[in-house]
Amino acid sequence: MKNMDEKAQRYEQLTAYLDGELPEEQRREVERLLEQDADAGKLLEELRETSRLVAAMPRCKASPELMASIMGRLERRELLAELEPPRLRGRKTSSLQWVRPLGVAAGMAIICTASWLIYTQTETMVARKASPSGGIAQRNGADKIAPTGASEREGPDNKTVAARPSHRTEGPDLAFGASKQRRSEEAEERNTAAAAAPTDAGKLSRRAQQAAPKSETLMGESLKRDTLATAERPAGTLGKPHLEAADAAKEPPAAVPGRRLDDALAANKLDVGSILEADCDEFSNRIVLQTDQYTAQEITARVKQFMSLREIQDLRTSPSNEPVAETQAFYAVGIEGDPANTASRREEILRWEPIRVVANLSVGDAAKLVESLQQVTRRRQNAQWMANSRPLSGRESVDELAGLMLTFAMKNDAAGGSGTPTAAPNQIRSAAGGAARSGEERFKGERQSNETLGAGNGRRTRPEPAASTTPPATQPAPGDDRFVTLAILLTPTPAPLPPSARSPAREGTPASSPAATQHTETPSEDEDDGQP
Amino acid sequence: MKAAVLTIPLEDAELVEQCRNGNLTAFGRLVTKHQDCVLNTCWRVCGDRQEAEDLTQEAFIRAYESIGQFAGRSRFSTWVYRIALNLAISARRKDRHRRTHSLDEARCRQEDEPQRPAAERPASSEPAPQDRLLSREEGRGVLAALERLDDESRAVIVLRDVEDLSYDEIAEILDVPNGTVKSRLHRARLALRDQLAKPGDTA
Repeated sequence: MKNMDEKAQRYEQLTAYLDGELPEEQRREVERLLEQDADAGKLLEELRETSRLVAAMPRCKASPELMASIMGRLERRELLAELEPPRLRGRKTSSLQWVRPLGVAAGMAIICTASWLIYTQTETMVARKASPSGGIAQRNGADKIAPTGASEREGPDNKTVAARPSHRTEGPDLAFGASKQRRSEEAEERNTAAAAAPTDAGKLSRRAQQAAPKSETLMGESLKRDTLATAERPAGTLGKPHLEAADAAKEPPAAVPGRRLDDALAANKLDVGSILEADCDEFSNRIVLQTDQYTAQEITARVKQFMSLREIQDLRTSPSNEPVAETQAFYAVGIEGDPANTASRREEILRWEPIRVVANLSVGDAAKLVESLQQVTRRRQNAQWMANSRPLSGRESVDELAGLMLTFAMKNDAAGGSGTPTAAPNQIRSAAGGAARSGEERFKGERQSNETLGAGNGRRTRPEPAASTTPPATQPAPGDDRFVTLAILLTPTPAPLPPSARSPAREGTPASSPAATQHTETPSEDEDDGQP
Repeated sequence: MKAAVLTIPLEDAELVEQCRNGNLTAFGRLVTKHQDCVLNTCWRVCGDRQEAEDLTQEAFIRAYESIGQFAGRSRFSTWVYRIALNLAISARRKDRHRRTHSLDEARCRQEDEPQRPAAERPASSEPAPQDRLLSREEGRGVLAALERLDDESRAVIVLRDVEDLSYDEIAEILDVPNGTVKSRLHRARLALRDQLAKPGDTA
């Protein structure tokens, strides 16, 4: 029987061998088996023939009607508003994803608290029965504070501590009393240590530590960690749900409390809520992100993931969880076949001190990045800006806004004018995909009616770069082999952070950073009203 | 500087990202890219071409509806395969009693075929008429034999031998460990071999 099983197992390898899915060593084993065992060889041939027959079955090609039908259904549903935009659904889902674990955590906390209370009461009752005098004393202590083991908190002056000898001599309660005594002694030591730190955090920490011995025995190590973590968190974060406390306990202290990038970006893209501005001209493009709640590492990872970068290098390794207040991304267009231009551009980028990441990405990808940022800018800031001209309807799509923006940009191009916060260059515009273009076409008719958009919008005007009049001949076509060097510049946050979250080694401040230099070279609106 | 090799055709991840922003055109591109594979999988699992088209349609609609939940840890194609396969298997379970698969269907579909890459086809791309006839007979026999397999076995065979997916991809689609794929596929092929060997079943 055993031999049969072994044989069956060996034969099972034949399928994987046939499909080329075996590692080298196992492949050699199977080949040895095939040499020795004629049955194995026969089975292999049968499996091969079976596989061949299935693979030889005809395949069908989807009819054009299938595609039309799918798209038709989706469009109908969108039009009838039966379907929420998937982006919104995703966010809803992501926010709801927290509800379940939160509920579970709350339930667990209730159960733990209840069992803790029951245990404490039982213990108190046992102690009362064992020693009437101690019981009275303990009752007094329990009345004073909370039923969380008064003896531990009250210290050596408490009567409960004085009642210890009675526990020691009580026979059946000996072990119980001894463990209680140990806990009391531990609590005394902790009280002494915690008394040295007279801050609120110290008090909270002390309280948590006082509760710790019981936590160890009743609620386990994790709850103890949570309690301690809660006590050590900054004052503003206290009272947050149980799960957050657990997270804070698990993460390194440098992590910024609050919303995490991955949580916020359930839609798998850059945090749309944090972008201040997307600004670009022909050769130098700048994107400013407000990222005070995320770390450099998180941003780098997210940019990598979002853009599917072909090549990415971390130039400076900084403390990985260093929080940054601002990310500035510059990128310059290099043209393959013009190495001098490319090299000089890269050198220029590398001279900027706080740069962390330099990456190559296609013009299409870069355009997409800019486009996505611009969409956000349009939605969040320019919506306000455009509201000066006319109110936005609730259903106004990003494409429509993009169309309006491009219309306005064209107007500016024609007039050599100014005032648009996101005047996309022709180069980017052309590569930005159908969305913006379709918006442009859709709003061609509105161009004339929007002629007055620039006037009275309250924004400071700025000189429009000459690049905005780039002739269409320079626009990248699909398959264009040009690439873009993306350099992400991270400047440290000036905002005060908890001491545990601060890193001693930091780069220069934004004012002294090369970002500031670049800022003066390419003036833009973020100097005056770019901040939210 | 090492220039990046640039290919403008957007990858699935980028198209998915655009879909999340409500770009229906991007989703259309995803559909165009994957509809044949999904359709063939559904066809071979459920056994009916018309039903397979309906299932494919439903799979893509569901994919669009839930694209916000697609975490991007796996490939989009894998994800859609999984949706389609689940739909096909449950549809088959529902209709098991009434489905009467027409063995002539294979003949009707010969006009559409074969979409497999040239490298995977037999060396002689123009088979002799008698060989072609034999191939049709074989096709019918295989279809009938596949029909008699259980859902799990059929799914794994279709994904491997029809769609030519790797064990890892199959494991991801079926949400089982790689080793399970290996053993399940082995059992499925043995069962199929036995079915094919039964006399009179190919008629």
